[in-house]
Amino acid sequence: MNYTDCLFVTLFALLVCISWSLDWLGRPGIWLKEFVLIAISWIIIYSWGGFGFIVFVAIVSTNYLISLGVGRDCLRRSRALIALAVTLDIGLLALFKYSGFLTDTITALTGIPLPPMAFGIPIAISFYTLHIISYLIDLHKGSITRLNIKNYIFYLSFFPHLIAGPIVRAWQLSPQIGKSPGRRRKIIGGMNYFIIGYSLKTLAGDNIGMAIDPYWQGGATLQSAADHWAIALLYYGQIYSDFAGYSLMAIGMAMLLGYKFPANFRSPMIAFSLQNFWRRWHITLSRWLRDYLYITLGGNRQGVWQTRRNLLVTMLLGGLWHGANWTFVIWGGMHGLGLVIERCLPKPPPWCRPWVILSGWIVVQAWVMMAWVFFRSPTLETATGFIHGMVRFGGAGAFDLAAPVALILPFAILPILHNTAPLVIRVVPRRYLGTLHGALAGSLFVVDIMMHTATQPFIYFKF
Amino acid sequence: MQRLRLWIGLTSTAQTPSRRRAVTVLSSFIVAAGLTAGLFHVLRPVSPSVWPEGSAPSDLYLSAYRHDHTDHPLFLFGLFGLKEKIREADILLTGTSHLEFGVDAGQLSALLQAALGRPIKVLNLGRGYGDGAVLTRMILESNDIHDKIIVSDLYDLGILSDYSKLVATWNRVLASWKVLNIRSIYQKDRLLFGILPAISYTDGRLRLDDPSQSFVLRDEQGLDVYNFWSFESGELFRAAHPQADPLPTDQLKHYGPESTLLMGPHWCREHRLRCLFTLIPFPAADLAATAAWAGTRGLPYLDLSAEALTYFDTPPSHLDLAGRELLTRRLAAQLIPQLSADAVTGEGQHSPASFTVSAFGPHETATGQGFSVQPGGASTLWIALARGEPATAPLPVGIVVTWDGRDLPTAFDEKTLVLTTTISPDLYATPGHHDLAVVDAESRTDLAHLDFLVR
Repeated sequence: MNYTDCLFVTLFALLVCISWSLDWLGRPGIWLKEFVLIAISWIIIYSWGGFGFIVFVAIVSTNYLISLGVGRDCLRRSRALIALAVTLDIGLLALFKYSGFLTDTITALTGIPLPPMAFGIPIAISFYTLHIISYLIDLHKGSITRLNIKNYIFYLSFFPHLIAGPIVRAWQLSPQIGKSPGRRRKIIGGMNYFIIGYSLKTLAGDNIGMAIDPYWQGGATLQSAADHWAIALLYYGQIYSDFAGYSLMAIGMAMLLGYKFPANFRSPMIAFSLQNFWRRWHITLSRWLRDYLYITLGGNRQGVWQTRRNLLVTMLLGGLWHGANWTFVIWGGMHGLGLVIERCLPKPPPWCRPWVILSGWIVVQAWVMMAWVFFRSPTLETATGFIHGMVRFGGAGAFDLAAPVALILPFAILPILHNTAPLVIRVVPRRYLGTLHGALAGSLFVVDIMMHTATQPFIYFKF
Repeated sequence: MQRLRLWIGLTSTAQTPSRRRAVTVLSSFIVAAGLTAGLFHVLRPVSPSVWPEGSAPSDLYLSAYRHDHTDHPLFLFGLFGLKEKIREADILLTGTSHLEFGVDAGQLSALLQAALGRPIKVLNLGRGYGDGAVLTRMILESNDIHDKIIVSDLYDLGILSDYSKLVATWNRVLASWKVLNIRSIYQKDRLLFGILPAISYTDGRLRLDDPSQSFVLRDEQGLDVYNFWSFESGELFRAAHPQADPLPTDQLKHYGPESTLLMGPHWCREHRLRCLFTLIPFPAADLAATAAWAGTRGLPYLDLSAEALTYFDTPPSHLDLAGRELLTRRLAAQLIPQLSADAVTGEGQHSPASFTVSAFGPHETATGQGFSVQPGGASTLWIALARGEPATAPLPVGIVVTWDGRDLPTAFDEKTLVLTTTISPDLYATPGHHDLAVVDAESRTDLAHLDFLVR
């Protein structure tokens, strides 16, 4: 079940109408609406596999029972229960997601053949594990109040964020549960978010993916370094369109149902430093990693070397969270290393700041693109071969891309436009912004209806 | 009033600028959508005057639209009541799109009924993507199908297509969702028909097409193809087609009946199915070689002539409406003697599957070691039978147990349904697995097969 399916969009429109009607009934209606939303969310999880659904229900109920003992009243017990829950949750995540990776690695290093452990990855486990852990820790710190069982299940199950985020923290969503949406529900804003996200995904993400996938799967070859960079850039556009598109759809869906989600992307393609990049890319994940991992490790309060170590460890684990493959570890490692190097650089004097920003933008975006090569490549060999192609100058002329890829470039403009939109908005007089926004969404709405693309699952659904 | 405004989402009455902004966004949204739609309406290719489905009967379902097929999930999961329908059928036609287009189950059912004087329900379970025996087995097993006659097309690419592999990973909820989603895309395009074009990016080309794309409709009764409409060529299946030049038979050897052995005699017996095989003719097929191949493997084969058949595609491989009608008559002519013979032997009323072995003993012995030894030195083995459906079916005139094809002295107690047979010592003098068969003595039809081990 994909959120870009024609049937989903149709039924979602119906659901929005039902949700408005139930909100109109006041408190009992809102209560009923949230039960309906839980039921729909569970059907969605079940549609991805009965096993995944059982695992979800088991983990959620176990954690809820544990959470009953977590709180400020007895810190010692609370700490012990959190340790138990985190061990259990991370252990299950490791079992399902990393057991195969672990046995393969041990076999490769020692030569001792270990039996394969292929349990399969239950849908959304990476995301709801983070939600569960953040709830427990926030509850322990006293920054949130305990949720009742219905609200807890709603918080974890709510389908717009369930499968691929944004990672909504309990303090962000729980105050909205069971309450009248009031001004939170913005129909026009929600529709705009949904339409723009849908367009990014279906017009840009899916079409770019269809054109460049053969290059990653070994079905097509590239000649020059320019071709390699073009494919890496197109992948950057694809993953941005796919994930930012999904996030916008999720925010839009939540808004239409009367809930507010945090932003997940803020034009990462204009980032001029890696620190700046991580404030713009998958914001909810980077904040989660900062709050629950980096700061727990000591953050930047234990000296220079510890700070660097903490950064590197956080990013390596962030990379590993994405998938059980060394390519993801290297992707995280490249970002961690980049962040460490950035911290070592001296602060530039004010007079050369524009040049630093420009050169920083070039270097950072090139570094990010090279890291994407590892993120996308199925194996380390493919990635290193591709990187070799990127830095090998010469070859059979620049831009020798096959026709399909060359033709896809118009679609690649979309993510670039979306990233540079804030720069454009700055120069547009404020009174015209609404018109511009509405006109853009209206045009994209019609194009979305006409566009026929083979529906591709969201890239982050598999994480 | 304020509550109503809040409800329709125009934020709050107190915030006039917000409301004004919302109205601005909404009006510009509508104007831009209208202008974009108007532009594409002008640019759209000329559409046919009516949606190509035309005056099709209402009891049709969408089998395929664009590149998506509904048959695979429908058949595999028996969705929307199809499981019961498959279970109620007497004869299931299975195979690829060759069979899907090549045989009319409704016509076949009528012909068989007229000839045999009893109603015979036939269903066409042919489907696209070249999925042959592998998917057929999955469909029959997942719907728990027994006690049926299966007519299987030997044209088989010998693989499970990527699409079928994907479908096999779904559950019923997702499968139903996918089927309904394909239908909703079809309905959406139907709504847009004559108003807006469809934009697609295929084969490295951006296209602005009429929204109506290729689709196949099948009737809900026999699951027969009603029509196949293609955007490029219009109606394909129902239209008359000139006979294309057949390709030499040695040029296309890509159909691989070997994988049909997945549904070989042993598997069919195990699942209480009577499997018959055929090859839906197409000019590149070597019919004689296929018949010979089936003969060498002991597959019951229905030989269908290719003479005067017409096809709608190039190279010719799928029969058109006229070709299907002709071939269905030929298939009926082949099936009628088979089913008539069943009626004479009683197989039609109580097929070989009317009995199952509920228990037997012993299952094994050591080499040369007797069991339940009788005064004459022979050993005794018992087999308990259980009735299948219908429970009132008459018993066979005689039942005999065979040991590797050799008849054994057998006694049958009709009250307890227990068979007792004596086995001479020379039969278990050598180690190995031996085939014990329960056979209808008159028709020589196998009722059940058992494995006896001599250690």
